[in-house]
Amino acid sequence: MRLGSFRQDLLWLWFCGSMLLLSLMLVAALLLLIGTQGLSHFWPEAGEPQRLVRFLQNIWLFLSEPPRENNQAGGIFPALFGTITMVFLMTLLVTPIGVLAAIYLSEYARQNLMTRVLRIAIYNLAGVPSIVFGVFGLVFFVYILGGSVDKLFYSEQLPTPTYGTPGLIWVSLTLALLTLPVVIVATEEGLSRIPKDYRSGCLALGATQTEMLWRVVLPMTTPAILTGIILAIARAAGEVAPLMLVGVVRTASQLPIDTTFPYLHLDRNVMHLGYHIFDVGMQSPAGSDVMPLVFAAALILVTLVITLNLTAIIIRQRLRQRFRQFTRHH
Amino acid sequence: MQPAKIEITDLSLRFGDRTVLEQINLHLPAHQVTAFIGASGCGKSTLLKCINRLNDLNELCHTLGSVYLDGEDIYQKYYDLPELRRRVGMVFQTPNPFPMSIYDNVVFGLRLLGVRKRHKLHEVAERSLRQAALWDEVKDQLNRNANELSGGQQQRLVIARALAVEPDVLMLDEPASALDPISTLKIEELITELKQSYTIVLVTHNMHQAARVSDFTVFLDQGRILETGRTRDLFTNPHHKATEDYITGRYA
Repeated sequence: MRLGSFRQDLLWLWFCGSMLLLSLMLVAALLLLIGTQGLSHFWPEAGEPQRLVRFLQNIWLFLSEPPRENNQAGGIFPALFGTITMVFLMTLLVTPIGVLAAIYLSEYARQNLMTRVLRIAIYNLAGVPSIVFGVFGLVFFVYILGGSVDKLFYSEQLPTPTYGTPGLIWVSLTLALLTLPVVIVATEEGLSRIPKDYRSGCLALGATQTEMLWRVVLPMTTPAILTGIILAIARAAGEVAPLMLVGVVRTASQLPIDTTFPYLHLDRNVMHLGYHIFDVGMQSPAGSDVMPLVFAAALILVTLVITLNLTAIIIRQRLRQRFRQFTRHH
Repeated sequence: MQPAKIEITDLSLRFGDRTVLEQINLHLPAHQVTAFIGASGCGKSTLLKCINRLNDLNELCHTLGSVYLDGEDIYQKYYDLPELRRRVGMVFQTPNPFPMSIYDNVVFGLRLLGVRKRHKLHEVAERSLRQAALWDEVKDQLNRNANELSGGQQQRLVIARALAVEPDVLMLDEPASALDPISTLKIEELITELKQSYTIVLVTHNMHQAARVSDFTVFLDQGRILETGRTRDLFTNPHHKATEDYITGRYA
């Protein structure tokens, strides 16, 4: 009887252990494939002199040159640039909205049924399939908002639309909407972790609620907010599907930022690294020599997102340490 | 009797359905130390927080009755709460310095008032830290993070922070309960020192402390005032059996 249950334990141990091994192997295979295949794209032919220098040069060229031959060769510069630009704009949009909304929810709103429902709704926004955000962005931002902007400010150019067509600003807005829950959740969590003593201590000194928030509570919440923003950026950098509806294209003749006024062109179509990978991958049959290009671009994207996630983890770690210090005597 | 600094009339308070304070009538004389004593959960801390309206933070809290500070009802509508809390300073049970330097902690309240002049801030920081008997220990390390101080030092820092805005009343909610005997002694000496300039309200679990430092004692039992009087009289000649049991440690 006892031996039987012991065997059962052992069986489960083996079973769970092998599943863990399987997961690890899959992740390792993915990283290994993308890593080796991607890097081999940059690795020079045998026999070339100074192979390491050439290797680094190749990486630089890949990052800094535009694609050629209908995306079948060349670099990824416009796609990388586009991704960074739209994510940067998204950050500028989502940070104030998300942080202020979170402050309202946890600091000003009465904690009643209505607030709870609102909070659940926002948290669930994170679970909505991203393509739905794309459709919403196309209808609401591009057609309704963009259309109205055209009627009000660019009527002389109609029927050719200026903002009533997919473009950078709509991409960034859609991304901001998509990542809003991430920022709100992170900020709310950070706010809830500030010990009550600091709040009452601050108010007892004659601070108004706003002064308490800006002088004591928010500075202590910054690491949490930063973590949220970085997670939002990491999520946004990897999104593709919804963006194809609101302004991401396979080839763009111009960059969204250039030297002609107004320098930042919010109405332009942009290229995106994720979509570029999709486009090049779709066009290359098995065994074609374009495949290494796909892996190389994928490697860059993975590196970008992993770096961002690691930064978020490090900041969160710092935050925990700081809190331990704050609460040492409590 | 001395003129009343604070007058509490017919004060009742409940959190949701739970009544915490009932029919409190009390008068706290100026420049005296009044101690609130009573078993845990009898409402002493809540009564204290009625005087700076910190209970208002709790959405469930509902207050009836009035509290007069220098004759003015602080429970009237649209009363300026930040101003009230500047006049009625409070020190909490656990030291709660803000996560910033010692100096920034002390001048926090002044900066809220918009004081920017360096020499004024310095002057007040030194004066408050001296009043709180902490100056000699920290004068060379004002830029150190306040969290690095010991518990007793932190509590005196918090007292200095409260004194910096020059309140009329200083309320201390079990200020020594988290401290060692030596720090406790320092805080008690400080209280005796401070009553020259401030009206002090003290919540304590420590009967000896109440007997040592307070002039008046209020004994609370289940949200009601059971007995109140000069500390000397109340401790030597309590009128109620319950008071006697409590102060002699036979409270059940």
